[in-house]
Amino acid sequence: MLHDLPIKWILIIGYLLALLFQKGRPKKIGRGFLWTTFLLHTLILGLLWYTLRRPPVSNMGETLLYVPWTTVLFGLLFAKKLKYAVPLAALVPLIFLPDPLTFSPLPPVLHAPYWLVVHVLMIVGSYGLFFLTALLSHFYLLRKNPSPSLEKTLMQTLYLGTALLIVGTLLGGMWAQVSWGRFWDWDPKESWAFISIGFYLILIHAYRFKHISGRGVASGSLIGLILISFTWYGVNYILGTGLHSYGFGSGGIFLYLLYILGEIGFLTFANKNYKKSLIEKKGGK
Amino acid sequence: MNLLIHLFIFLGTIHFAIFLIASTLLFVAAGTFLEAWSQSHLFASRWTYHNPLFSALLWGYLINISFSAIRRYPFKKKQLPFLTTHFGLIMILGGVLIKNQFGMQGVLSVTEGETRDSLLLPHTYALLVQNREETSCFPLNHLPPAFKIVEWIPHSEERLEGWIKGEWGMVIGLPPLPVHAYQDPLPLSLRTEEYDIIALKTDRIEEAKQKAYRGRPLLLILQETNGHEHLIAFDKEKKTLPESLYAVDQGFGGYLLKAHFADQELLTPLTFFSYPLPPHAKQEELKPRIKLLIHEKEEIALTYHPRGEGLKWPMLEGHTLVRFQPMEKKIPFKISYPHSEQEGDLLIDGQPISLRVNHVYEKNRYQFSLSHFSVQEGIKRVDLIVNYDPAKYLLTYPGICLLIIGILSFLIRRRYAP
Repeated sequence: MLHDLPIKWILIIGYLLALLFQKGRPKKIGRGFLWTTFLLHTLILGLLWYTLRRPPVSNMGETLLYVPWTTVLFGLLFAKKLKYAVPLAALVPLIFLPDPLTFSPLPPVLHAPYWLVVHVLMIVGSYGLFFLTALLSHFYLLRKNPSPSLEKTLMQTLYLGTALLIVGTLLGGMWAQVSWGRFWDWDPKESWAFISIGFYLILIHAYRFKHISGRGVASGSLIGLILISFTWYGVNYILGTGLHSYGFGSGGIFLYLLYILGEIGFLTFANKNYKKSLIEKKGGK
Repeated sequence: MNLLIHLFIFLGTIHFAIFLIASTLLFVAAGTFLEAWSQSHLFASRWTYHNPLFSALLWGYLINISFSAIRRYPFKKKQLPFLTTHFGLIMILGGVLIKNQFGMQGVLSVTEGETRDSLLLPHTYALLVQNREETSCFPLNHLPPAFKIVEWIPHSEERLEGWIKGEWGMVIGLPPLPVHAYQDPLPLSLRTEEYDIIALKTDRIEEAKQKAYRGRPLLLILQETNGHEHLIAFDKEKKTLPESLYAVDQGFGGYLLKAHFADQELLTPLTFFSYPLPPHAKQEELKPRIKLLIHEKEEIALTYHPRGEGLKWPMLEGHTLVRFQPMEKKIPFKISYPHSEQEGDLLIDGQPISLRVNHVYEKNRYQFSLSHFSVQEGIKRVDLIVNYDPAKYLLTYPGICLLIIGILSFLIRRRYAP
C-alpha cells in the first residue's frame, strides 16, 4: 500500500522543494514544484478513491493524506490575494505526510457513499482550511504591522472553514438520523465539532461587533486549531469513547501535548512582543 | 418599564450571545471528559446535556436570537443573510425543544414470529402492573396510590429459586429437605420407600454426581454458589436418567417447576429473590432494586429488567402481576417479524419492509432503523430504534436548509470586515 511506497516521500520532497524555492529568483521553480506536487497529490487521492470505491477519508491514516491536500488547495485558491498563502500551505503536508498512512476496510456503518462524500469531505476539508487560517495567524502575529489583505484573507479562510464545518456537521446529523436513528445525541465527536463551531462563531461575532481586532482573531484561531485538532485526533485517540469508535486509535499523545504547549508558548511570545512594540511606539512618540 | 427595556436590549446583545455560546461550550466539553472518565454516556448526559441548566441555555439562545432579530426591525435587504441564518437557527432550536417535549425514541425488540406494537424507552424506570382487566405501565414517579416505594438500591441482581430456597429444599407434598454442604459421604436429605433425595450446595458438581449413588433411585439437587441449579436423577442401575424437567406458567398463580422421577411428578414453585450489588461504574449497566409496599401490607423487592423481559411476579394473592422495567409506549403500528433469511425483513401493519444499516423506514414521522440482530438458541431477534420527531419536517430540516442558505449568502456577500 501507499505507506510502503516511495510515492509519499516524493510528495514530501516536492512540497519541501516548493517551500525552499519560494524566496529569491527561482520563484517560478518553486511554483512549478508546488503545482506538480499538488497535481501528483491529487492524482494519488483520485486513484485511491477509484481503488477503494469511496473517498479516502474513513480513518485517521487516510485523512492524513486528505487534510494537507485541502490546505494546499485553499492555499492556491487564496494565492492571488495573498502570495505567501501558498508556501504556508505547503508546510502542512510536511507535518502530516511523514506520519504512517493506513488504510482499512470500511466499517458497515460508513457504507453510505453519498453521506461519506458530503459529510466527511466537508468536515475534514474544513480542518485543512483551519490549518491554513492558523498558519496565516502565526504569520500575522509575528508581524509588527500586518497588512489589511492578510487580515482579510485570515477572515475569509475563517468564514469559509466555519461554513464548511457547520454545513458538514448538520449533514452529519442527517446521516446520523438515517444510520443511528437520531439527529444529534452529544456523542463526543459531535460535541467537539459543536465546540469548534461555537468557538469560531464567538471569534467571528466578536470581530464583527468590534470586540476584538485582527490580532485577537489570529490569536483565537490558534486556540481554534487546538479545538479542531482535538475533534480530529483527541476524541479518537485521547477520549476514546462514543459512537465514532471505528476511528479510535492510540499513540501520539506526547507529540500532541508538545504541540499544545508550543502553541501556548508562541501565543505568550507573540503577545509579549506586541506589547513591547506598543510601548516602543508610545516611547517614540 | 425602563428596566424591561434594558433587559430586552441585553437579551438581544452579542454579549449575551457570547455568554451563552461560551457556557454551552464549557458544558459540552465537560460532558465529553465526564463520559471518557466514566465510560458512560448516560452519566455524562445527566450532569450536562440533560441538566435543566443546559435546557435553560437552549431557551436562552432562542430568546437571544429572537430579540436580536426583533431589535433590527424594520429589516433591510442587507440584513437578509443575518435574518436567514438566525431564523434557521430559531427553527432548529424550536425543533429540538419540541422533540425533547413531544418526541420519543425507544427500542422495539421483536422475535421471529412475533408481533409488537409497543416500544421501551431506554434508561427510564417504570412498573408494569397487570391485572385480569388490563396491563398498565406506570413511571415510578406516578405510581398508583396503593403502591409505595420504600427502598431504592442502585444496583442489584435477581436470582430465581427452584428446588432449593434458602437453606431448604422444597418439593410440594414433601417435608422441607435440609440442604447440606459437600462432604464425604454425601448426607441424605430424605429417604422414602421408593427413592432417596440429596440436596447440596456445592460447586463440585461432577464429584457429587459420582459419589451420590447408593443402589436405590436417587434425586440429586445441587445448587452452585452462583445460584445455578442442577437436578440429576438415577434409577436402580445407577444410570443417569435424562432430566424430565419443565416450567409451567400459571398466569396469575405464578410459576411451577415440574420433574418426572420414579413414576412420580415432583413440583416446586419457582420463586425469586433480589439482592443488592455494589454499584457498577457504568450507569448504563446498573439494575436498581426497588422495594414496593402495596396496600400498606404486602412487600416485594424487584430488580430492574432493562429489556423488559423478566418474569412478572404475582402480588395481592394472585390478583396482580408486576415487573420493574423501562417505560413502555404504544405506537400506532404493528411490527411483525416473519420467518426470513434476511435479518431486517419485517412487516409494518402487514406491509413488507426491509431495514438495513444506513437504510431506514419512515411512516407518519415515525422512523424505524435497525439497531441489533441476534440469534439465541435458534430464535432470531431484531432490535429496532424507533424515533418519533413531530418537528423534523416542520422546523428542524427547513431550519437546516435556511441556515445553509444564510451561510452561503454570507459567503457570497463577502463582507468580512467589521
